Amino acid sequence: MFDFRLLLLLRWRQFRSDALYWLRTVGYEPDERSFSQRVYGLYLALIGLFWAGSMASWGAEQAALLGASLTPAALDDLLAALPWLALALQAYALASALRVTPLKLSFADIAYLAGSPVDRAAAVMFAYVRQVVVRLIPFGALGALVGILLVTPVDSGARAAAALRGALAAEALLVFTTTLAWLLGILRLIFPRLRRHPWLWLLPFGLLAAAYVLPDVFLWPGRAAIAAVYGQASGAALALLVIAALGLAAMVFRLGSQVNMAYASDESIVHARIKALGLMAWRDPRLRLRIYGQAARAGRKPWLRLPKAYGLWGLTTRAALTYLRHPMMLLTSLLWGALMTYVAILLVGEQLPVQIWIGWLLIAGFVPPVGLLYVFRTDLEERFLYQFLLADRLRLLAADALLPLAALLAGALAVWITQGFAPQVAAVGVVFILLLGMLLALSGAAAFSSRRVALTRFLITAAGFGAVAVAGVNLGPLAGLAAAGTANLILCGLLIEGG
Amino acid sequence: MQTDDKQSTSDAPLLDVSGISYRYGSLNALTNAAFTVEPRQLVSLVGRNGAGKSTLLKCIAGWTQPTEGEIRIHGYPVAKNERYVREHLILVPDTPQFYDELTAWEHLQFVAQAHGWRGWEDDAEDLLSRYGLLSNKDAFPFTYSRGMRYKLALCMALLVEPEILLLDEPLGPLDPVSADELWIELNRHRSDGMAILFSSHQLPQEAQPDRYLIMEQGEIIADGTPESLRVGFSLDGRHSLDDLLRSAIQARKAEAGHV
Repeated sequence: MFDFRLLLLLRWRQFRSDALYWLRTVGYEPDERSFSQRVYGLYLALIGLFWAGSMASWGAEQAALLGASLTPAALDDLLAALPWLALALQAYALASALRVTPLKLSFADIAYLAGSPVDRAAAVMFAYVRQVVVRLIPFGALGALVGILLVTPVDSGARAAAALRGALAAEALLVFTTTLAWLLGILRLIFPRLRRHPWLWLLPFGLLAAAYVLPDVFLWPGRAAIAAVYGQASGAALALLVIAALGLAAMVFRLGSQVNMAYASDESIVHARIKALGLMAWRDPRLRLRIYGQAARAGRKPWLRLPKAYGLWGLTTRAALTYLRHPMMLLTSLLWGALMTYVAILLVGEQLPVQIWIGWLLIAGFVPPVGLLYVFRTDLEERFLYQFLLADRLRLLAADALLPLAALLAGALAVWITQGFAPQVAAVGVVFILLLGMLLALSGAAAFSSRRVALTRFLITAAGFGAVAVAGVNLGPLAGLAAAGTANLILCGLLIEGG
Repeated sequence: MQTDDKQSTSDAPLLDVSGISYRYGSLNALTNAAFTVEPRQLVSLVGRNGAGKSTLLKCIAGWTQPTEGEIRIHGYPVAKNERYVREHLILVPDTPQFYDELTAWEHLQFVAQAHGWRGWEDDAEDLLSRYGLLSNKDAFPFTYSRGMRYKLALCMALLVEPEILLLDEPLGPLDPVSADELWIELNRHRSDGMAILFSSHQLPQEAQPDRYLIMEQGEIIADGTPESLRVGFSLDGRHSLDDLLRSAIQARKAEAGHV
């Protein structure tokens, strides 16, 4: 019992320290007990409540709108699909716990907790309860929205009750699934033989195949949740879920004291590295990706070899090898190109208002595919490595971005060509796509070459794409093409001038 | 080669640091640092933690812009000739970064191929072998220890053989055998004409650079050969680097009227 009190105190202090850290990022200084700070704290709380209330109201409204648009046939399809979706999420949760320990330790925990005589059951139960509590709010909100969506086509007056029942049903499912996942994850930390099977984590996905054969046995949690939304759940099903969750939690507690903390520490390194980044992990998601990527590659033999190529071609093959060892970056570039082209076609075809165009432009400027300039950005930012690259920035960009740009253009051109436009329109569109793709890469490269990346990116993207849009809309497509070509030439000049 | 502000003359020093200062907010990290380095010189930058050694090296390499003063290589200002600097100078920082997707061997291969060299493999293998990395050449550098990463960075820099090599704390992460190996290597490159400027808190036994630059609180407080400094600070023939640093700091304090 003493260990539980000790850990409670430790976790409370850690929670307080984390909360203070985040509050300081928005300018609130809790240690400064001045009147102005108290007023600012109240202001932040009110703004937070207002934001949460607005989002909940907006979300409920959207769910109701979507629900009202559902035809009876669509509703039937949705009702049939939801238990499968619930089972897929359950399988994912179980697989995650079997792949990496659910008991995730920070570097401080590894140093001071894992090797201490503190009761391991206490460490396990605190981590388990924390994970459940943290997930209750988002899953409850999601359940409430699904409740509104499902009940609106049947009885629009029962939305509030359905939202409440949906939230409770989702939370009951969450507790049951999380507890089961923890139990499996803990068994791995007790029995080393289980850790020796590298593909064990794939087993839970077999539940989906099993559910195909025996749907009544494996789909009952999702079906019970849906029945609860409509107020038709049998008391026995809900009681079974609650009893099962409580029983599993008792087993987690019982087995928690046998957990091997060395295994937990070993598997927590990636989590600890990301946690140690603090705010940076949120500000720069590339750091997280980098840590995950390193962890994934650490134990593997490198795939493919760097070909023998010299000068600029040597730079190009190096970038290509990087992307081939990171194929997701190419895939996301391809999908990004396809999606943005599809949305642009919709914007033009539906003659949507200018605000939507500005939104498209902002996404193009600020959320380009991560892979497009991944190698170029690394080349510029890692000053030690940059010393070995004797090409100017334009040639470096050409070598580094060739493959992802080709993927992006391929995605965009595939969507454009399959629209079946008249040959002349199709040809102009192809040239537009090529020039705008280059403009996107050049704008990003020019921004990364500057000290103020975000501001430069905003200004260059707004000026470049803005000039193309204004010329294209007011003077015709050829003027738009000329503007895009000119913007590209100016940016090329800037990059050469930059070194 | 395209360079700005061309004032290079045949008698311009290889590296000319004239009156540079650097401020981090209100802190003076560097104050009026001035010296020159010629080819075939092995210069040791000595100072306590926070004395400004790393900042000085980063300013010379063009990684950081000094708030005052100018640095020239062969008479060309570093600030305006980024590419020229990259072609003549390499700085190995205390924690070098690498590409996550390339193995150690591929880093060397890439450096050689980016420079357009052929027949580099023997030199690369020789370097890796001397620093004990040959058996790990197909591993990714992020799996290396800190010392191994520094050795790989050294191998990359030595493969290129720049005219000026800047090393930030090269001996700190290295084991004694590798430190001795590095010292021999640096002397060999110095004989071939390379200028080397390195910061360090320790030197291998019996090792002596051509010159010491001693820094304290952002200023260069002593600049001279080991012999001239020994005589100047009245040290005996068996003095350590610590003794030299302490004497220089005390002399500086005495000069400033603190003692």
